[in-house]
Amino acid sequence: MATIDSLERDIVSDLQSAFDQAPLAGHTRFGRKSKIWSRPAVQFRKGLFQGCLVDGIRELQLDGELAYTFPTNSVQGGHILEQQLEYLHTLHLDLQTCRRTYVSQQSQTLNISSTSTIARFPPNFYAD
Amino acid sequence: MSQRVDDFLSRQQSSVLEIGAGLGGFARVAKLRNPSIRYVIVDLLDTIALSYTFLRLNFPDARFMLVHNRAELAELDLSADFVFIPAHLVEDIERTHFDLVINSFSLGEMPQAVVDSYMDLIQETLEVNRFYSLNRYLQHEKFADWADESDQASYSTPLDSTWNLLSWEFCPPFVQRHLVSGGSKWIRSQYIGAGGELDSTATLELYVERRPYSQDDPDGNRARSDELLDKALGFGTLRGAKWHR
Repeated sequence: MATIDSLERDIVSDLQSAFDQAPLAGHTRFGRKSKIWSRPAVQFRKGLFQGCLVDGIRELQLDGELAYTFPTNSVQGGHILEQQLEYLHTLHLDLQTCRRTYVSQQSQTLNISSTSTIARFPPNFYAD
Repeated sequence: MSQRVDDFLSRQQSSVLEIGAGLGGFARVAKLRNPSIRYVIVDLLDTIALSYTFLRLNFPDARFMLVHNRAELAELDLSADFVFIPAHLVEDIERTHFDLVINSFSLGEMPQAVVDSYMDLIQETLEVNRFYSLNRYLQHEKFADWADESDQASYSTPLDSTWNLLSWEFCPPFVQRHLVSGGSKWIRSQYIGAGGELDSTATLELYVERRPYSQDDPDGNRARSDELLDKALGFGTLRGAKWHR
């Protein structure tokens, strides 16, 4: 059985490779490609993450950097940002070299640099 | 939901394709129900990041394949426990057999042209035994003025003539419970009116089985179609004008 450490590294490496090879923009017959900003942030509110992430949040990746859109006002967005970062930590995604971008409906942008460490959670975290 | 399709989930070496798996919760349930199941997920890559992580951590000893590019797609290893195919590669999928295709609460949220492409995938490209859909359908009039909702599916999942309908139900009780007591405020606002009443026709559950093309019966299809049209016209209220194409 793989250790959690090696499993984490493998997951992050595999996902990173997939993102690296994915196109950055455009659409296909099967929906928008990932990692694009072709639609206003507010449209992501309805996305497939409903029920999976903190309500109303989409995660995107731009040019190798992770970015998060928040279809909320700036006050709510700041609060959700904290929740989202905490959530992503639990997913073991490598955030250490990422620039996090917060975009509100008012197009306010807030850049946050981070050197956060990656938290662990048990595999059955979502058992319920 | 797993109980609805348990006849296929419980089969040995059953192959399942889920379109839009979200976090991967249903895939996890399916694998726990039947460890021999082979599960393929098609999704946006940014969502696959979640389901891939979630399922690998839940099943650390299972075999996974994350498809990175077209070359890997051409050599798809369907013997893996879990296979993940990003949506931008789906148009290159070749004819593949799946015992069951599942979609819940995502086709109804896609633009109709994208829904049609997925239905073409299910009905023409792939060889599918059964299809289970649980989706909002028929774009509600109240969404007409919502800028971010106006491009959502109008008639949702168009089925061709070679399916046998196994079951269908408006908003099954387990969905009603979720809509009333669970889910987000945003989801509830779509299904529950100002008076607190649940729009029980907002969701349609379908479970259909593929009939061999050799058994296609155009005359019979026409008769069934006319019969269903008569029933449809008998409904007092239609949710919108986009109920047929």
